[in-house]
Amino acid sequence: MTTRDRIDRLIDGTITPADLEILTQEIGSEAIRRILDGEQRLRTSIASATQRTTSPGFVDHLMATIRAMPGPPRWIRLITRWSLPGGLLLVLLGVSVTLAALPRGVQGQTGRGDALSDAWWRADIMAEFLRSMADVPVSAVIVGGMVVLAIIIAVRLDMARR
Amino acid sequence: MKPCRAPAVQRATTSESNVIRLAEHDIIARVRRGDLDAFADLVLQYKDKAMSLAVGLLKDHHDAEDAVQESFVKAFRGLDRFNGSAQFGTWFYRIVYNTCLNVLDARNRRPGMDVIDEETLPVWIEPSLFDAFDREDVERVLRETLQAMPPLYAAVMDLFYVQECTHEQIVRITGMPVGTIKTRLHRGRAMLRDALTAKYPEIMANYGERS
Repeated sequence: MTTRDRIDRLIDGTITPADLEILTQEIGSEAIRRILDGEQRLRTSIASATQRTTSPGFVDHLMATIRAMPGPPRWIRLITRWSLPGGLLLVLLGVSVTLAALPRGVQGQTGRGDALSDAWWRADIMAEFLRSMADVPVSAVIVGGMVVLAIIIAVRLDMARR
Repeated sequence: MKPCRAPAVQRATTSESNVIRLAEHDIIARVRRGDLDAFADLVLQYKDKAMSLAVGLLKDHHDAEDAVQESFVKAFRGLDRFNGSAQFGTWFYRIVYNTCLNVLDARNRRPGMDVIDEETLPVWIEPSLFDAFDREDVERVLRETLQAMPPLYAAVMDLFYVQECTHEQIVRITGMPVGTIKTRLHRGRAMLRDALTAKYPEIMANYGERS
């Protein structure tokens, strides 16, 4: 590398410490100081000379344009907004109907009325119910609710990522 | 905030640039969550520097403002494609640069993407010159010379001296080979020195003797 290359790198700000040391021996520290000082003064002067700014209404106009940009369709926004409570409601409704309706039928068949037995039967029937969800119409509501919940979570995660 | 890293002679410390990147990362995350106020923060940070680059390329304030506005809209729409590996400034200046080239295209005045990589002698400007002349006069000469420079020269000079980008960042923004960038910077400096020489021949003669 020649002295000229080192001066180029000094001006460009890409000189290595080793090359700076060699250049100092070649042209002296005073010359290096002058070159760096000249570059710094030039940088400051250019930055000041070319200072630009936008018109007063620039940011407002830009932000209005961005706000007016078409977002996701209305049906997606409605689903996103309402399907979480809607889905939860459906799930709760399905579980409530199952817990309230099915054990009464069983109780009626067995004739057992004490609270412990009743709770036991409810749990047993609920477990059986969950095992055979696909065959019970109410389970479709629960599954539907879960699917809706999954969609909401996916859409919200996607929007958060965006 | 420095979107591009400053050259070695006055580079910000690593911790400073890390803080800047963290703050920017946080702002971008907020924009992605739909926070438009955060995007307005980005606009405020970058609009004036983007204007400087656009005016250098287009030579017209009104066109430059339109191009910068269009660039911000493109950046907002395409923020998903910004992966954070580069600084936001580098990514955004590339959008501004390409938007301005499209405007020049529309005017049928797109500069040729020539590759210049020639041997050049180092050029620098003596620091005492800035003390010898009135600051406003020097700045006026610099402004006029930069305004008269071919668009791609003005863009490289702006990216290096105003945006404080490194050669590597200028390569990413403009797509020019590094040799071309060095040559344009060298010629740009020479143009500035020649303009000052022409404006103040008597003082520059003394300066020439000293350097």
